[in-house]
This record gives sequence, C-alpha cells and structure tokens, in this order.
Amino acid sequence: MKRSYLVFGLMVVFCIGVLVSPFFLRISLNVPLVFGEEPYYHARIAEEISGGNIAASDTLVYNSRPYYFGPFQVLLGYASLLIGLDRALVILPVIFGLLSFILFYLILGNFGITGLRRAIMSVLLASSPSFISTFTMSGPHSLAILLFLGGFYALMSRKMKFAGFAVLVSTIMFGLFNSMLLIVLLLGHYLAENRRKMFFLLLFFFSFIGSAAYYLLTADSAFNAGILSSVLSDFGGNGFGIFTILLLFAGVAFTWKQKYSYSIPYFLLLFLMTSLLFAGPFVLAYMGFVVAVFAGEGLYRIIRMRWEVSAIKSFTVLIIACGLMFSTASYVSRIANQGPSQETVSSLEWLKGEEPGTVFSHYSNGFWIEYFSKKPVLMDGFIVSDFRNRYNDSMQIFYSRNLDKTKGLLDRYDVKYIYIDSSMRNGRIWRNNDDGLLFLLGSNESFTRIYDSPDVQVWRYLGR
Amino acid sequence: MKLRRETVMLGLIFLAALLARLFIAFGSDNFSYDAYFNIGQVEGIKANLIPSFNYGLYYSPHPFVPLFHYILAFFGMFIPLQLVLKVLPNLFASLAVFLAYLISLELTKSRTAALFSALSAGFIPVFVLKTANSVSEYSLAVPLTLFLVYLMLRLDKANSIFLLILSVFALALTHSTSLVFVSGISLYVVMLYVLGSSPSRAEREVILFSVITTLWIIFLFFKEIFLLNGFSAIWHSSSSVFSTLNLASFNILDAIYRIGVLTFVAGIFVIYRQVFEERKKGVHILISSSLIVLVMISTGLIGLDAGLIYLGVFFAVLSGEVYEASFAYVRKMHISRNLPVVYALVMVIFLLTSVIPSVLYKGSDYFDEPSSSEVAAFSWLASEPPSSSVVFADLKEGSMVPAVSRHKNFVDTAPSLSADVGHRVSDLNAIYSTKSQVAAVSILEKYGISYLVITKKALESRNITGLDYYSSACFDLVYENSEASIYRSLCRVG
Repeated sequence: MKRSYLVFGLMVVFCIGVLVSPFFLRISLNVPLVFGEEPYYHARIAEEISGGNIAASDTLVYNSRPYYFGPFQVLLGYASLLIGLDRALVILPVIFGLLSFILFYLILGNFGITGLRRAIMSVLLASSPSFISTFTMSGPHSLAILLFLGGFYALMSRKMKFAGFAVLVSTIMFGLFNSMLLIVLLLGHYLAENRRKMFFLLLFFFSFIGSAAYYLLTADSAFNAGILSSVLSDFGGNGFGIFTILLLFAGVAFTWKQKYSYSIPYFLLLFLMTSLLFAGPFVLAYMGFVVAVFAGEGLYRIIRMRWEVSAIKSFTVLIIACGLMFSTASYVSRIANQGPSQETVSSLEWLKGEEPGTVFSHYSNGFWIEYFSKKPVLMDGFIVSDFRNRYNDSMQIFYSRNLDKTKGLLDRYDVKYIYIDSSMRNGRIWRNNDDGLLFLLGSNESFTRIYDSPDVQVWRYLGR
Repeated sequence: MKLRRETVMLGLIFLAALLARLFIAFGSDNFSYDAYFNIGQVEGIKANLIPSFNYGLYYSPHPFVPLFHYILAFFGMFIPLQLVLKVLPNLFASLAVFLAYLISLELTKSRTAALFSALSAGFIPVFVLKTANSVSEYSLAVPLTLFLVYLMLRLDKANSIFLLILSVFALALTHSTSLVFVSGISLYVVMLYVLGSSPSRAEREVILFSVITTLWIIFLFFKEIFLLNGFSAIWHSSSSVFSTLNLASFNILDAIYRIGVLTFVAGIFVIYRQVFEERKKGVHILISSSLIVLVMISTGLIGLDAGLIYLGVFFAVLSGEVYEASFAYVRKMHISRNLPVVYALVMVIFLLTSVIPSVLYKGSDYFDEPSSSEVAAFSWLASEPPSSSVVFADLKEGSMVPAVSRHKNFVDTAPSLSADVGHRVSDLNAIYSTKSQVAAVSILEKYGISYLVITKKALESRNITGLDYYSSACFDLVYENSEASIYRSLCRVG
C-alpha cells in the first residue's frame, strides 16, 4: 500500500475518533446523546418538517416570531424520516465533519501541501475545539462548511468548475456571513489564480444580491459572549487551545515573507477575524480551517528548522504536543458534560403534560424547554422582536425582591411556569438561596412548587 | 587547597543571611499567618502523598503548583516537620546570595562588586520578612528565577541547557510567579529588537521552550480557574482581590524601605544607564524582568509583597553594576588607597538601610504571626465535632482553620476558585461591624457557620472591643483565653 494512502487512512481514523469521543463519553455518563442548546432548536424544526406541519410562525416563543430555518433543518428533517431524529442529530454532523476533513485534506494537496506538513495541519484541524463543537453539535454551519469546501475543491479542478461554482453560490442560503465569506474566498482565489475578471464579477454580483436578500429575511443568533473567552477553549470558549493560538502566530510570522503565495489563507484569516468581532463566535467554526493551516505551518517549521540545541527542540515539540492533546482532551470532556442532563429531560417531559402556559427561565434553557415540554418560553438563544426589553425584564424578574414589580412583569408576559435548574442557582443567575426571585418564591403564596428534584424545580405562578 | 578571599567572604555572607533568617524563624514558636495554607498542604502530602486541590476543608478549591510542598513533605519524612518548615525554606532563600554573586560576576567581571550584590540579595527586607517564618514558595521560586537568569547568561557552557530544562520545569511547578520569568525574557527579546540588536539562536530556542513549558504547566494546574472565570480570571481571582486591597495602601517610600534604600537607588540608576547610555545585553534580562514586575504590580497581577520581593532581588543583582562603576571611578581618580574607606562606607549605608530593617522589623505589621494563645484557641477547636462545621475567623487567620482546627474555613487569603470571595470579605467585615444581631445571624446562616473565633488582634485592627450584637442567648462562649474567644452560634433567622 502506498504510504500516502496509509497516512490518509490514519488521518480519517483519527478524525472519526475525535468526533465520536464526546458521544462515547456521554453514553458512559448515561445522559442524552445530543448535547448543547441549539441542536434542540434544529431538532424541533426538523420534527415539524418531517411531520409536514410547519406553522406560519414559531409559536413556542412568547408572541411568536418568524421561523429561522434553512437547508440544514430540511436535510435533518428528511434524514430523520430514514433513521430517526435522535440518530440524525448525531450522525449527520459527524458525517459532514468527516467529509469536510477529507475535503480539507484534498484541498491542501491541490495547493502542493503534502507529507508531514499536510498531516500536521489535518491533525490540528481535527483536534481543534472549534471543529469538534461544529461537527458534534447539530447546526447549519456544519453543512455550510461542507458545501464551501466541496465547492472550492470542485472550483479548483478543471472538469467540475461549474458544479463548484453552483455549490459555492448555494452557500448564500446560510446567511449574510456565508455570502461575505464566499466573496472573500473568490477574491482570494481570483488574486491567486489571476482568472478572468468577468468570472469573478459575476460571482461577486450573485453573492452580493443573495446576501442582501437573505439578510433581510433572517436573523442570526444573539448573545455573543466576550470574544477572547469564546476564542480560547482553555478559557471556556469553543475556539482554539492556547498552544494553537501560539502556533498560529508562529505560522503567520514564518509565512509573512511569502504572503503572496498564501493570499487565500491570509484573506480568509483577516476576514474571519474581523467577522468574529461583528458576527459572533459561530465564525470560529470557519476560522478553524484557516487557523489549522497557519498553526500547522508554524509547527511544521518549528520541527523542521535547524535548532542549535537539539534537546530543547525535542522538549519544545513534546510540550507543544502535550499542550495540544491536553486542550483537546479537556475540551472533549467539557462538552461531553454539557446539558441537558437526564434530569432536565425528565422534568421537561413531565412539564409537557401540564396545562398550556409560558415558561420563564434563563434563555440558555429556552431551546430545551421548547423541544421537550412543547411550551412557549419568554426567550431562547435566538433574536426576538423586542429582545432588549425582554432581556431587561428577565433580569428584573431574576434579581428583584419587589413582589409587585415581579408579578407585574410575569403578568405582562403571561408567565405560568418558572423553571429553575442547579446551574441557575449556582452562579449563572444567583449565588445565594435568598437572592431576588428565589426569595419571593420561598415566601409567597403566589407561587406553588409543582416539581422538585435535586437538580430542577418548577414553580407555577398563580397570578395576581 | 587554599580558598580565595572572595569565596570565604561569600560563604560568610551566605551564613549571615541564613543565620539572620533562622534568628527570625526560631524567634517564635509559631509561623506567620500566611504559612498555614502551605503547612496544611505539606502535612496533607506527608500523610496521603497527594495535595488537596479540591474543597477539603477549604471554602473553595485552592489550585496551586505543588513542588515546594512535595520537597518539604519529603524531608519531613526523615526530619521533624516543624524543623523542616523552619529551616529548609530559609536555606533555599539564602541560596539567592550565591546566585546573585554569580550573575553579578558574569555581568561585571568584578568579584568585589559581585560580593556587594550578594550581600544586597541576602538582606532585602521584604524578602527576609515575608519568607523567614511563612513557609513561602517564594523562598524557592526566587532562587530558581535567579538560577534561570544565570543559565540564560551562560547558554554556551556545557550542562547549561540540561540544567535550564530542569529549572524551567521546577520553577513552573513551584509557583505561578514563574510567569514573571517568562514574561521578562519575552520582553527581553522585544527590547533587543527595539535597541537594534537581536537574541542569539540559542536564546530564541530557550525562550520559546520556557514560555511554552511554563504556560502549559500553569494552564494544567489552574485550568479550573480559567474555565470558571474566562479571561477575567486573571484580574478577578481571589489573589487579585487581595492584591488590589494591598495596592490601595501602597506607599512608595514604604516600598523603597522594604526593598532597601541603597538597593533601590542602585537598581533604578542601572536601569536608567542601561536604557539610555550603556547597552549591555545580559543586563537587559534583569531590566525587562523588573519592568514586567512593575507592570504586574500596578495591574494587580501579582501581590504587592511578591512584586517587591522580585523587584528587590533583581535590583540587588543589578546594583553590582553601580558598585563596579563606583569602584572603577575611585580607582580612576588615583585614590585607590581610599577604596577600603569606600567599601566601609557602602557597608555602613547597607547595614543601616537593609540589614537592620531586615532583622529588626519584627513587631511591625510586616511580620505578622499569631500568638501562642491564638494558636491554642484554634487547636482547641480541633477536638470539637463535627469536622464539617464552618468556622468563622478573620481573613488572615482563615488558613489556620483547616490547618490547625481541622474544620472548614469561611474565607482565607490563599488563591481560590471562588468567584464570590469579594462578597465573603464584605460579609466578614459586616460580622465585625454590624450592630444588628439579625444581620449577623443571617450571614452566619447563609454560610452555615457554627463557630466564631474572635481574636483580640482582629478586634483591635477594627478599633472595637467586642461584637455589638453579642448576647448569650444567641452565642455560647465555649472557649476563652487572653487573646481569643470562641463562640458557638445558636440562633437562626425566622
């Protein structure tokens, strides 16, 4: 067998291993396989698509809002008809991840990056937290990235140029960001290949029109956390380990002299870094591929460069490898421990049987409440029309000890249930048992505890 | 074999520094308040072979790097632990004398100037007072930092690389202030480029290795803090809360006095001369490290005392340049026969500004330790069940609760994972200052506090004579001596 095929096979096995490891950990922890919050939104939409009964608007949010869905949810819906929704939510992103990984590997080959350099870049990609989170938690960006890479790969070949072009243009369905990314990618490709201007202008035109139209019809996820914390996985984010970032800087420094040969990665890196500030942490999913190229280049050059002290070289490379492994292992274990817990699922399935009414909780529980209890929430992780008011009112309800004020706000939003879990009690909202709403719940007849477990409490609000 | 006069002098300086430290350490039967967290961990390692990173008897997990504790616990298996805790840290700290000598000799090529540097490093008031009786990790971290600086200056010599690899690991595993060294050498590279020079290939490799190794070890041991608090962990950790409290009382004259007047002036002078006039490459490692310490102190990334210790040691080594320049000037002026007079003059100034403050500072706030009566009160609690009871004590006495009383503490000054350390400190002050029994009892109830250790010192530091809300119906006085009282909380709110 040719050595290159063996390396490729090993890379694929490594990628599969990394992508399935959080699920094995969750099986051992005996918690639901699907983790994270947003996958449950897509699951709910896919469920409605596969059931063929899509309502005019999303009524599981107070006052309803337009549906936010696209090709991913449609695909998920049809896949769920074949293999069941629970399986589709796990298998689909993993398959997208594996295919994206293979395409990345092939694209590197097309750019003349082979051997150890390509292997390092691929390993860095597969082990990066951004890649793992994108391709283990069901979301539209897993499909968008696959289409991007597929389109770009086809565009680079002689025979499939048009197919590649069509696939690339189709990514504008995923949002404004994707359309902008397409423009930058094509600009970079154009500059690198020096193709005909008309070809580029045509694509630019399609992308721009598509972006504007799509932006007017949809909205993106809200609640962007602090950028630095979201980038560094060691600080609790979903981006990259501290060593990958250091290697990224090293890679940029090493390649700076040949920046024109690296025009596409440089264009993309610049665009993605800027987008991260405006569009939010989901950009990290795309950034992972560019960061892998630069960080891989950095590590490759560190390994290959002539060292005066060989002992220091061995130790440095060993520590970098340990640091990268540590970041990945620690991230996998962290996401495997994410919610929802079995107790969350049980409590919400119990709530499903109660009479209809709006549920008030932290917005991060919103998608779970909608999916499992089929009851509307005040807020979830996506934008609603009067988002700022609702957010401020939520904070008032959480922290106020003024009963009249709290009741007034609960009445305004027709709240019937208050859902409190341990994460809310342990710092996400409150620190002490008598803070804000917790004080009112424990000392007032307007609230009745209707569900109580070590992890979850559900209260019924009896109104004025 | 005939010993050189300088070698004998160096040995005498080392002995003097060690004896001065031991004089302070054995001047008391107890340790300073800061020591009790480390004593608890050393005893834990001696008994169970593993440190207690998690809650245990602490109000929240206290992450730390454990090499120093392992070394003490190891020697504690053969020698009485009390003796190990008193002697070994001082022995480590006194090694700074040799290292300052070696670095200064490398930089100045003058044995006399190097001897004065060694003397300065041996008697930095803040270093002596803060480490002599507090079982402090700084007593090992500071000499290791100096050793690394020395090795950086001798990268071309045999064995230097091997020793450097070991020392980088050792320093990173001794204390998180290893970041002072790696930040210092990183700034050194930047400074070299700014000044139109560049580091050698070996230097670049060593710096890359040191930065990566130290960062990795710090992330490995302090991962939970970073995950819990994100990037803000760096500024919002409990140690930062306390260093901010220290910064509020910062006084530049006091800081100069704690470093030593002569050492401080000499250090500042060398920095000025090296940056603007002379450009000696090796000196820049120490200058950039000093600048990093200043930045860290001003941003609260390092405690004031810790910062002054590092600053003092770096200045002590740098001061060799000034001594050498002064002696060269005297020689140049053809008054070399007056050199002994100059030496004597420097010695007298040094004795007055560094040695005497180092040894005679005892009794001031910097040398803070519990009295035997206070220790007796905390020891008495050890016999009180249950061991899971939370015990209230003043902030600086907090670490004595797990180490001496074997009960869970309410708050202490050691770096912790708790995000609400600020609230705890304000609740602690409220316990002393409130006049309302309901307010006090609700705080005690909030944290599940069963016992209150109220020391005379804690009351005096707040200018009060007792707790205003005290009543025998709510607080049972279970223990009392001349320095401390212990109350059991009896009441509940509502």
